[in-house]
Amino acid sequence: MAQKISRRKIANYIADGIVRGDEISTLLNQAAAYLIESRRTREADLLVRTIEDALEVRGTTIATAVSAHALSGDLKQAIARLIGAKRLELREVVDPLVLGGVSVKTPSLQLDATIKHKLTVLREAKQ
Amino acid sequence: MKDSALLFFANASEAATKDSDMFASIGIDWKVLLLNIVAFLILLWLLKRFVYPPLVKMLDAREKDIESARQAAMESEKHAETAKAEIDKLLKEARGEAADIVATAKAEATDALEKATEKSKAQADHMVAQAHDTIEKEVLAARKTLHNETIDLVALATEKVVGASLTAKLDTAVVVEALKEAK
Repeated sequence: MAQKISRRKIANYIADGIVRGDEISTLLNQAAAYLIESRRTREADLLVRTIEDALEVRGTTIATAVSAHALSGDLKQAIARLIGAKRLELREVVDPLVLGGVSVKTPSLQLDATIKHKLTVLREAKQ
Repeated sequence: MKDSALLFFANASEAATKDSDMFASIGIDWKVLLLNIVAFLILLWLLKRFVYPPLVKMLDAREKDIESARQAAMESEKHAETAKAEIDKLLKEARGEAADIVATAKAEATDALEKATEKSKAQADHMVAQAHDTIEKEVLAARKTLHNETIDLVALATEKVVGASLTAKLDTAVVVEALKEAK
């Protein structure tokens, strides 16, 4: 029986490959195949987060930005400056339910400046 | 006494003989007169012998009874006076005691009234304090409710207004402002 490889090691392997410029889809297929073979598919989400952590350590930050309208280039640069990443991979999500503003989430940072969040905070301030 | 009576009768008989003619002339029969006198004397003797002594005895007894009654009445009067004096004394004492009792009762009533007044005042103060406390709590609850309802209304209105009127340009401004604040 093959030795179980830790999620951290898999993530480091994939992150190193991405940084080297290997084909991302190939790396992900390998990781997916390993998870299926070792019956650890339930760890897929956790593995993705761990890969993001590993990439951030290596200077590449994967961020998710949620806004009511599509972000302009200036805003993306402003977000990159805010995060302070050498290289930023921004995953944009347009969700009208946030009403306005932006929510940025990285492995080490979470900023929710949406109007929806502000209203939620306001409602939570009820006595 | 018997001798004197016989002498009297003899003298009377002699006088009667002498004076028979004189009595007859005025219409008096000396024999009848003599008989009446004898009957009178016998009656007098009988009365003195049998009637007067018990009568006197009865009168003496009666007098004695009256004297006893008088003495008893005087004793009773003395007793009554003594009793009256005693009653007056007792009444005086009773009045004094009654006055003391009334004074004590008045003092106790005054004390009880003061205590009741103080208790009522304390209860009233407590009730007023409770009422103030209740009112204050209700005001606070009303303010809280108003505050919460205002927040709900503001949030709801903001959602409605912003959702309908926030353009991409305005949203960009909001995002820029948010990123500035985040720095």
